[in-house]
Amino acid sequence: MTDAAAPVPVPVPVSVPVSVDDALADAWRAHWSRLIGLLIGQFARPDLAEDAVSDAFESAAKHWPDDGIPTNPGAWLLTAARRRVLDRLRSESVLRRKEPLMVVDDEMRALAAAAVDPGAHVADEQLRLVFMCCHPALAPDDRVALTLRFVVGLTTAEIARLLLVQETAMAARLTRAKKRLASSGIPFATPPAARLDERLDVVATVVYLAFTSGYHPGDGDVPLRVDLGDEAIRLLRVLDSLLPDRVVVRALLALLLLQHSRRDTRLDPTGALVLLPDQDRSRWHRDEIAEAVGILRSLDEATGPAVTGSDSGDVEVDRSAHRTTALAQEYHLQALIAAEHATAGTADATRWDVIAAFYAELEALTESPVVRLARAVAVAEASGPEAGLSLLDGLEDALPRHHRVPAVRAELLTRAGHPAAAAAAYRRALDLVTNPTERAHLESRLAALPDA
Amino acid sequence: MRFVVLERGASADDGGLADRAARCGVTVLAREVVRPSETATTVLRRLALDRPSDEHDGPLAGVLLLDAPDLDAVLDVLPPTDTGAFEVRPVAG
Repeated sequence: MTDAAAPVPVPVPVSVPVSVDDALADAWRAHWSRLIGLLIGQFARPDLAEDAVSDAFESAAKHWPDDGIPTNPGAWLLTAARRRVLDRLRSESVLRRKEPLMVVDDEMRALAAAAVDPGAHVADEQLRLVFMCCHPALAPDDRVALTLRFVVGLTTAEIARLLLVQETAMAARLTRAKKRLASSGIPFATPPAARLDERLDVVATVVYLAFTSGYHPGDGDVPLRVDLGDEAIRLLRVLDSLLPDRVVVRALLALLLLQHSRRDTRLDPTGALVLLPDQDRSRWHRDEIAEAVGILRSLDEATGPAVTGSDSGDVEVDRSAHRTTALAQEYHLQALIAAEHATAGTADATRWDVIAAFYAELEALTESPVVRLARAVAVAEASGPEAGLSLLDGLEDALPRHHRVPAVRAELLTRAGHPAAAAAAYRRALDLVTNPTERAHLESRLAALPDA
Repeated sequence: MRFVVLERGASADDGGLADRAARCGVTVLAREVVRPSETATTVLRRLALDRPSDEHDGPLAGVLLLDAPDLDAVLDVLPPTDTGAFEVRPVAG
């Protein structure tokens, strides 16, 4: 309610001058997904919402340098974006085109239509937006692309580069996916409680894929404006605040914090991959490691210890308040393993016996031969190369094109003092390896064998 | 006797169906035109897939006409089955 007689507030001078570029970047970070969510909530047209918010930011880049940065950039952008949607709807009705609408409940539409500031009330819209982009009736690749576009706000060119497809192909895929969102009956809604866990698993998978795609950006001349690791973590924090105490969200947050904490040490100055034991631990982000360890501690308190060191005794834990899916347990175990690495003072101080026990649990859960391979490495570090070798049996059949199976076998055979057998395994690995850095590494290991 | 007739290809108008039906002693109980194939969701072994169904999903077995709040409700109501498939599409309009 405004009072016409109230004195006009004196504008408070901004102590630090803010550049338009910074203001735009801040607004983009703070408001992109909120604006999209509000517009879909109001107009039930995902396709128009996305274009309109893009246009609103373009318009801001044009007008703010001359007109000044508005006192409430979010409200300015919302007004501009709404105008764009209304323009488009008007021209569609002139053409008598009847576009199908996304399923949005009436209460939501009224609330979204009444909003004037995307910073004020948007929790529902943001959640709905995430669940919409990660709907199980969308193809898995489309879920990632839509999340990067609608929630994170990347451009089509950036997404194409991250997901290693041509920009035209990505544009076509996004167009088709948006059409599907608008007209296949997928709701703009938070799933009911009974479905929340399985739907959150889909969301978590998408966030994890988005995070990892940021670590393997393909070649191309589209520079990425954002750190996808930061964005994935930010999105998990939002989810964690809106849906508290969900194990899959907390475990994945811990896992991503731990992986991201090593970001400054993963590549050497020439851009070559630096393996974990050789990374400069003093440059790992300790605050993030500490946060992740804190999350893992709270998860252990909530769900009981993941690994007790023996199979004896059933751990009686009331998990009813913290129902965990297999995926949540998987992320939890991966995070516990990552935490062991992150908290070891030196590579030599790594508690490989603990890591091997976590891998055993992870293997029992996933039955994955890739996990078995990682477990074999951990067991070899903890209990010697022979113990590791015994776990490799049969893995060549399960992972026939995987050069790391013969590579690990070769390494363990070398350590166990079987150079001839090691040489044969290195040659098998060299037949399969494609990455030039790894090839060079394998060749140097083979050349260094005694009497090979 | 009741019949189910599936229309394929583009068939927005009914080509004078009502007139011929009256002459032939046929009652059209319902005619629904569905949205295009990119809106189709195929449910196969409890998985929702981003595609129309095809001949590999099994021969035609039946038709359901549902009124539901959204796709999620439809997916929840379909019988769990390890054989066969359901293609779900919204009615156009």
